[in-house]
Amino acid sequence: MDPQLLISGVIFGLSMASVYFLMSIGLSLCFGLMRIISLDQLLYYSVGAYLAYTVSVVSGNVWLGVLAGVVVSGMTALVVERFIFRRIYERELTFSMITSFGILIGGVGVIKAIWGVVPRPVRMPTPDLVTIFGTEVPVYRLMVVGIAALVYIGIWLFLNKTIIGKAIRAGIEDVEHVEGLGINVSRLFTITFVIAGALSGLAGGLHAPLIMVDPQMGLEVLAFVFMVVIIGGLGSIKGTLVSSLIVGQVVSIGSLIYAPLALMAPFAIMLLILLVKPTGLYGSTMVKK
Amino acid sequence: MSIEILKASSVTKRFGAMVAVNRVDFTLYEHDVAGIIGSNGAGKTTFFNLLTGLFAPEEGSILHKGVDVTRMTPQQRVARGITRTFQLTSTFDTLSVTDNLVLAYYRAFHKASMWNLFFTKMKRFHDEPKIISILETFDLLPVRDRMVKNLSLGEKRRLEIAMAVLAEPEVLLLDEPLAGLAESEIKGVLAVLRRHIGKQTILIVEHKISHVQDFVQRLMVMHEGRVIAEGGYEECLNHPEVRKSYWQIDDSATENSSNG
Repeated sequence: MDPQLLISGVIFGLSMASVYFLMSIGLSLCFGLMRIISLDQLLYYSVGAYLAYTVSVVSGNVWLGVLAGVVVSGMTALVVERFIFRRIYERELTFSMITSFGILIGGVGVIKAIWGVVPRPVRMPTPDLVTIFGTEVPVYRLMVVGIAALVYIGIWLFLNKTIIGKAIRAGIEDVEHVEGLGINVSRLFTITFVIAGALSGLAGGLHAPLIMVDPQMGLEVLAFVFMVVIIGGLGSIKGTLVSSLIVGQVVSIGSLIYAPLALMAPFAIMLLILLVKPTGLYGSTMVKK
Repeated sequence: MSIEILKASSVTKRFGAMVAVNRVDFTLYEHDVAGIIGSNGAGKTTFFNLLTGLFAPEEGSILHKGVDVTRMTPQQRVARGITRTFQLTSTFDTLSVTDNLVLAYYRAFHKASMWNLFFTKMKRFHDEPKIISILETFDLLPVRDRMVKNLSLGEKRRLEIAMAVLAEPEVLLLDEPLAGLAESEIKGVLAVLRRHIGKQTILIVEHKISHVQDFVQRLMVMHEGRVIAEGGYEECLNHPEVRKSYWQIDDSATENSSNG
């Protein structure tokens, strides 16, 4: 394979991995703490992308659009958690999955009503290219990777150095015992859900200049995000990072080797990992309590 | 006159057709050191879960200092000063000993602002005098930075009780704190618990009677969801129903055969 093609493939894979990571981290945290499958995270991803589109058109500043996407997605997640999820935490896992899928489909309908069904382009915040080992690479893709890396560090510091982060980690181990300590678990759930929604919105906003924004965009990445969460292990941040890197590279390099591989190879890898380690790379045997 | 701290009246809990706790009455007085004993499946832990709010009873009421707490959440009860330990240790394996204690201490932050919750560093509390003192009291100072998953069961039990005590509860509810411990570890746990007699009201659930013999002031014995005896240690031990349910000694049959 042409080395220049390989380098650009790796950078493309890293930027895809960054988007998958930002989206999957919310799903993973929500499952780990609240034991819910929050498919509505894919809606916040779309909301983030559409806000990036609208605000960038109005203000001419894509970064402002990305920021608006983060804020609005986080606020939408807050409303959904307060009025819907809070009522169903005690229910079976499948109940949250079906409910969140309903929110996703309903949300896609609202997006269609507001922005229509025609795909929208979002301009790149910077058209600059940088040369890496003789290969020209878009600076924006590197910026996406850098932002995802900063988010990982931020989430790591949050979960390991702050009181509320430790409480969330303890809750992932056993939420009943956290409640037994007198900690306000409901508040932990809300904070986690809003963080998850805001990160999904950030993923959408950052991804928007790299694709065409359309109402179905959340559903299009659904399978990849699920793969990342399952391969990494439900509830594991480290696992989510590693698996998003694997899936991102497999999709990117796979498409360079043989185009249909881009879609097939991640599934094959997921099946292989699940055969060897059914809980995913870093997952624990967690059950619904 | 002793003050009633916790009072359960005609409390009933069913799981499907099974009545796990059947019209149980129980009162815990200030600075009491009481025990609930019974064989496996007697309903001890279920009754305990009713007191702590993990389960809600179908019938009956639970009062804390005269206030009805029957429908209150565990968190609300902890806020009122009722804390508990669990039968299976409820420490957090992936955190250090000190981090576990800081989480127990976290209650003080209940009404903290979002800023404090997000930007208060955990490390700040590691040298908190109260946490250091509890580490010393429970002989956990040498393992303060160790991950809990690397502790022995005895150390985990001590940590769990330390976490419950740290919140300075009015009522300390201990669910089989001696289960699975070696004799030397049992002595260690009971020794630290004795330091809290007279300071807190203590209720201990235990399977083995001999473990709590020198510790509790009065006992309640449960069998098949009912209270079959209540009173002092000797009094309960010699109760015919207790002898029958615990050791299968049927006094009435012995009496009849000797008469015959």
